[in-house]
Amino acid sequence: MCAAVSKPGHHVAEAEPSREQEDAEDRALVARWLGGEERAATLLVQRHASALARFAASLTGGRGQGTSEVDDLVQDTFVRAFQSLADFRGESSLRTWLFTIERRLLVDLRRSERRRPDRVEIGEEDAATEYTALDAMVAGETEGRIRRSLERLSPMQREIFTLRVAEGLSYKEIAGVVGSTEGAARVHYHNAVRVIKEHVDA
Amino acid sequence: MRECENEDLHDALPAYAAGRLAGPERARVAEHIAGCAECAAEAEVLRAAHQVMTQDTPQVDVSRIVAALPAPPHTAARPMLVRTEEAAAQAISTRPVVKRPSRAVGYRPLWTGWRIAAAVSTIAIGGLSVAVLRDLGGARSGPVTVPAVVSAPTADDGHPNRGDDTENIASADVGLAVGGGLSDLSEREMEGLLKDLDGIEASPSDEPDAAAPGLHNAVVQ
Repeated sequence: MCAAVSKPGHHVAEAEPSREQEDAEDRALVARWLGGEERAATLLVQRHASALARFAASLTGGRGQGTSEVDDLVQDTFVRAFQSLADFRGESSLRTWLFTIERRLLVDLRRSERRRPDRVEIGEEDAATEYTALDAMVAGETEGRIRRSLERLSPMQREIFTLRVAEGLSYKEIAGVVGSTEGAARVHYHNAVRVIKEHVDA
Repeated sequence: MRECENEDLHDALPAYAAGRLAGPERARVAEHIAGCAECAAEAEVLRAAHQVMTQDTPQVDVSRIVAALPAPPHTAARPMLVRTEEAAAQAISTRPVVKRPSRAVGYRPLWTGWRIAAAVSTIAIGGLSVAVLRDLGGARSGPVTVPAVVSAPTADDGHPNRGDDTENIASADVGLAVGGGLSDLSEREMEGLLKDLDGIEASPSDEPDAAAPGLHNAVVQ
């Protein structure tokens, strides 16, 4: 049952360009690059680098922050994508396709790092202390709580929450990126929201 | 346990909190959360999470990424156009100004081989022509242009036997005599011979006539 609330100060950001518009612009840039216009590559990188960096940070559990790991992962993703850009048929959005490539690259990287399990996944103890010092410096307590709660999510929950909230992907798109089903993606997302809300409200 | 049963509107909360909704869709969600405490609270958490994730986005070096990207396929295919027959012909006709891409270097051995073969053939034909002309010179009624330079190096090369080439050619097998004479020529002799061959080629009347089919066959073989 929904309870009526009034939040006069409630504020959301201004509407961004629609996904359809962004996808159309991406397809046009891809066509220009395939036609030989090198500057189109710069524009495509500028449009998607931040999103890929955010997703890379969620994939690496924050340990990529301030290191070259995120940089390298984003660069490798773009290189791999442009090597096969002629094969991109636009069945998904370009950004979703890039997320898929990035995730696969990291999976391959982790497989090669199996002899170094300390680097495969961040532990819960590490997560709990990851931003302890940072929390004391952040301006808002809510933001600090959000950061800590994000670190408490499981790797899959964190990936899916990032794709859903920060990147606006649908459950179907998320399922395609993480190699899961829509239903599983939905469950992971709701569990992530529950964990974050509990931590923020605690 | 979630209390709001409006799945459709609840699914729109992330996009609403991130500011990705506009127009009627945004207004519809706003109207809903105005009356739903659960969705309003969740929207607030999602908005804060979106803001944190956006603020914490790692900085990446776009120029470094772009520098690592492959060239567009159209650009990468340009050198292939040089390898077409038409472009290759143009490259040959404008040889001094054409700088071939490295990938076209593979053609050079082929052209070099043909050039060597053409040069050898020219020398052989020219040598035979000179020999035949000198051999048949006396039998002709008209004047026969025999380059003087052909005999001059022969006299200067320090080989006494070479002073009588005409006799050697006449007495021995024609093909063998011509082949041995060319291989024994010094560089100066060869240069002189090549200069004279240019003159012979420019004058069709100096071509060996059909009276010496054996010579032609020897060269072809």
